[in-house]
Amino acid sequence: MADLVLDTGALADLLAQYFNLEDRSNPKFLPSTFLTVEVTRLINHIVRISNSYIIVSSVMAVVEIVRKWDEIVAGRFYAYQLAAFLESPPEWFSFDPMDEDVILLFGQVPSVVLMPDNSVRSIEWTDAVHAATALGRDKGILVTADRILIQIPHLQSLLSRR
Amino acid sequence: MKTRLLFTPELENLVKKLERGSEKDTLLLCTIMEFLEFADMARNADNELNWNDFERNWQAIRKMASVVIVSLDQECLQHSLFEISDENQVTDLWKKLGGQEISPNQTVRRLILRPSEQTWWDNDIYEAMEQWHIGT
Repeated sequence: MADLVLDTGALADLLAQYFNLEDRSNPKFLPSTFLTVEVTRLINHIVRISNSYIIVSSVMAVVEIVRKWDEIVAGRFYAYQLAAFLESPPEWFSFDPMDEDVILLFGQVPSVVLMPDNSVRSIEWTDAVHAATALGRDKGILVTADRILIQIPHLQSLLSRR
Repeated sequence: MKTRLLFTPELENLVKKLERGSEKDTLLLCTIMEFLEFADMARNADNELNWNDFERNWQAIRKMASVVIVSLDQECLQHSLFEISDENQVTDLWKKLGGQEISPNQTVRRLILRPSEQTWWDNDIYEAMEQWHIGT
């Protein structure tokens, strides 16, 4: 096991489900657009069983959600719910800052990666922040829909979308 | 002691040459976004800035007492993301977060520098940032 670092789409899906849970003390998340069966299994393990690992997102994921609120959230939750979550997230969740430590971790994220079809793709800074956040965890797995980030050699990652 | 925003040309001198202006009685404030931009240039092996040079200078800048670098964290999001009513209720997202003409970089700067009861700088810093980066 490891900490799961969710990128934007996965965080939005998790929040959408969290705000509709019947029992937040015993949550059970289900597969959705940006949460595969495997990712959901790992999330449920962390929130229901593990005391050693947590779910993490960079604050940049929140920035990306609010910048494209209508497109990403699509009416699944409201601003006041996000405010409440930021004020008091569950004990199994943490927001990692964009701070001075992230700057140095940024240097560990390559500017380009080699794709399976041998094309070379560049990594945008916003995506590099998610990768740096995962690299900043002792044991961190980045959950991302971005097939470019999956190709970073020294980064543990899981695709959040088939 | 005065506080003012550190502007891009000054940041360039600081990051590339460790040159700081001569105002000794002024606290220079900037956001983590400016340094992420330089880090991104260095990560991409920009001709004028390679990663080793950037990292060395960055470590030195972090120790400068007269340069304050403000981060984006959970607490900052709590204070900056929302429109709040007179009754202290969240009514909506802050109107200045997005739009196609606003880059993610600028959204981050706005969130960090938006004045609130929790920030110790005044509106002039925020306005200076908007004027410099957007010209509005």
